[in-house]
Amino acid sequence: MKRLPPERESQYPNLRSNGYWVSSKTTENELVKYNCVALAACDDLTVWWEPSTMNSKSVIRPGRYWPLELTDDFLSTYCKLFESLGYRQCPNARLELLYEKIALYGDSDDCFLHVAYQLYFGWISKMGDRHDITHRTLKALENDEYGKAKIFMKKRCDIRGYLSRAFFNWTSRNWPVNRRNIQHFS
Amino acid sequence: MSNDTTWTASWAGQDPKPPGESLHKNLEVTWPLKDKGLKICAVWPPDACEIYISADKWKSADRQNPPSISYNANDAELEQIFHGLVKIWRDATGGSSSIRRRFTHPTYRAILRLGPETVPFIIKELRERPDWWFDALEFLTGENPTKPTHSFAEASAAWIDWWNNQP
Repeated sequence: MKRLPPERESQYPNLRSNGYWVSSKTTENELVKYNCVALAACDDLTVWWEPSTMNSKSVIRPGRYWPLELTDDFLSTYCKLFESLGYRQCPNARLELLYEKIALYGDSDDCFLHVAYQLYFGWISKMGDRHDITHRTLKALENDEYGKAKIFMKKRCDIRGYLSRAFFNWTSRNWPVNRRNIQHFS
Repeated sequence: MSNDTTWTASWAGQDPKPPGESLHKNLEVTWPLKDKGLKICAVWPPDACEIYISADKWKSADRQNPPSISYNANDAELEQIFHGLVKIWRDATGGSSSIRRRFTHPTYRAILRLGPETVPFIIKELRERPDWWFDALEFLTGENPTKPTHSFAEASAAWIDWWNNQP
């Protein structure tokens, strides 16, 4: 299984002990950029989902996408984003066969830092502008940069979502169409 | 572009710490300019210290009156400084889910402070290692050849075209 370079792996103290593998090539140095929010939202792995502002007003910037009026970095804003995509908050990260789940990471100020998407065998995360990794636990990514998994959300998945996760351990809506956009390791 | 570029940096009040134990707790990278007796450091986190140039004599400097100097870096040194800062910035923030957070990193702010003379280096970065340089280019040039609806690739191409069309 492919691993992160040691200097990067060491940035996540729980990563190796909790189990992980690299599941895509990095988008660093590439002309197609997407982030963890895009991966979890699953619509399009060619844009970076993040609000952009100018003089406190929402603006559209090249390469970025943000469908809400709210533009702050709080977890509550990202909850609203995923609610607009059909998710609702749930009490835990336990696997439920007929539901897609995401975990929102935040810091002590409840600022959003990361989101991970649940697979049948762990979770998948886009590491900023770097690789996708599949990690066994949510704790694996906890550090100063990503904070802790604080909010869990779920939505009922359709048959494609069920099959893609069950048989390919992959996210639902971006398989197989958008899977071509990124080079994945087996 | 002139041969000499004045880059001003100030000492922000703390002695440099030993080389980092962890990227996020204490990152320090130095580029010695041996012939000048100077070194250029970046320290993370931002509340500890910002980018500064230090000389040995500063080790005993009065913390209440931090020194500030101007240093005339030639193009080669400026490029060395630029790439050093870019490496720190990318290493420290490349895993971040937020571009906005990446822009608050002290090394990014230090890159902006290097001034418009760094634009050719940024364009070269955009060609060879594409990253989110559009805001920096807009800040440094006052221009914006991109459209809001551009993809990342289209915006990169627009900036490279803009640079190629400069007199």
